Amino acid sequence: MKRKWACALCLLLFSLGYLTAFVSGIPLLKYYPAAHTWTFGTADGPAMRWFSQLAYGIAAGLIGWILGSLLERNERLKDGHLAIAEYSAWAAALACACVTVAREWLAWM
Amino acid sequence: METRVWGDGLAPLNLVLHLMVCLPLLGALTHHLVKVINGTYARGRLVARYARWVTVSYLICFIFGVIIYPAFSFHVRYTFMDAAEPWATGLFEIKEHLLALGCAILPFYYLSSQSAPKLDRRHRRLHAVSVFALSVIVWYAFIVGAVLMNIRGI
Repeated sequence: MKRKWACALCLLLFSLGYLTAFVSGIPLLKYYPAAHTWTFGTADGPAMRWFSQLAYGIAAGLIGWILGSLLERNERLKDGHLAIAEYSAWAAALACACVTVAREWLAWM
Repeated sequence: METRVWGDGLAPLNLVLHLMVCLPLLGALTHHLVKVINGTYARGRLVARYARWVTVSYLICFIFGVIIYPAFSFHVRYTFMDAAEPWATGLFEIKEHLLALGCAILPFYYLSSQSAPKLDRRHRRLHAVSVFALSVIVWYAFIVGAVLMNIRGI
């Protein structure tokens, strides 16, 4: 399989980036169109934080992919290191899913 | 005056396209899941083909979803569901989070499927986890999408 490190770090950093943006509520895009972003507009509207979470997740995932691609060439790294990265990535993805589902469940159900 | 949101005009058409692209995604992913459950995914080239279909249709479907999101979020979620059917808003938000996470699983899923016969034991296990996770996400999204459209369409 190609790009094992890139896949692992992409999943790890995407999950952590998305989770961080979800928990902290970083206001990148609150409402679309841009007139309402940064509360310039007066129109009432729903928070569209999902876009900002997605943007942070994708940015972090891309950084992870680039880092992973660089690590791919490092011959000092053994399979044990890769296993730790892969299990951490899946644990982070699981944690991200659990936290987001639990918080939405408690908020709306 | 009715509030206009970006993507309003084409939202119904985009929604139909969103659904149409979702069908090959569901088909290919479910076939792949059956192969994993049967333990026959490491044989033949079908799994690589399923993975190509899944990856392309997932991304196209996701892009349509992103385009529809502002219009749906304002006209359906904000103006109606938040007050009248809050549980539906909860299901919708969970769907969005899981689908975003699915995007991060896709690279591993795709690349591990392309070399499924050569995977070692750990990667076979993780490949199975990725197929199972994507299947849960996509089927959940499909069912919740149908429920939401039953409550109120765009």
